[in-house]
Amino acid sequence: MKKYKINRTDKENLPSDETIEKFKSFSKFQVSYDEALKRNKKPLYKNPKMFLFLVIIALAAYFIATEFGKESANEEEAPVETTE
Amino acid sequence: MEGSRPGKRLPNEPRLIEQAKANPARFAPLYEHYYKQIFIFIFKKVRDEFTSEDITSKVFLKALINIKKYQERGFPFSSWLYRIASNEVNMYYRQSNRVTEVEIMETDVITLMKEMKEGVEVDRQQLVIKCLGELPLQVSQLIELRFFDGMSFKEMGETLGISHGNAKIRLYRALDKLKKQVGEQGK
Repeated sequence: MKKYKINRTDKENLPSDETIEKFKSFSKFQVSYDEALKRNKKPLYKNPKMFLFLVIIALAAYFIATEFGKESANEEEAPVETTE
Repeated sequence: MEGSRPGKRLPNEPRLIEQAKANPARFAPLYEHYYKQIFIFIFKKVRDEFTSEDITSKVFLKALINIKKYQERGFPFSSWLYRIASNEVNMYYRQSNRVTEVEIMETDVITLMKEMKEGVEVDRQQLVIKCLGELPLQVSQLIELRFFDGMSFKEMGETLGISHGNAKIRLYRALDKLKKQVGEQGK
């Protein structure tokens, strides 16, 4: 919400240059920037592309594991040939 | 209207922006050059030094975080900063529960009223600013940029991310809305 108020003097009430200079600090700003970057670092799985990649890897691993499992089961169940 | 208008571009500004994209530490010249004008632009809208400092920091932070997305389109870098600042100020108004008193110069109000072809008597001025405060933020923002921040249509367009022709059309629509409201309440 805002409400306007008219200044009927000739001078605009603005902070002095000294006050503004006091607030201006690039080194302090860099610290905030570094902190903001750390905060904004998303875990890999929150990136949609990376999420899709991880799902594909997981599915591929699952299929390989199941296929490999079937093959080893077949080998175990195969009848032993007898030579008479 | 001291200090808050988009100022002159820094010499070699596109090169400085490219350097800042590669190395955030190189953002310093842009920060140093534009800090004061962005601070004053925000201060005029929130009228509190500490809130202005806080919002100004957020503006530069967002600018640096997103600087890789910034594309040079021939506008000064400050117009991008003003756009972020306008959005941040609007967000501040939406989130703030208290009423913020925005001080405007009488000469600016008179210029606005002359543009509206209104009489400039003191009681009429009070009515105009009351109605202005009741307009939606996006509408009052256009009037503020033009009459209280002293921007040209070109600068308004750059700040709002629209063409200068569109800025002019939107401003005159905003003035019509204000005039209509003043007419209704002034009866």
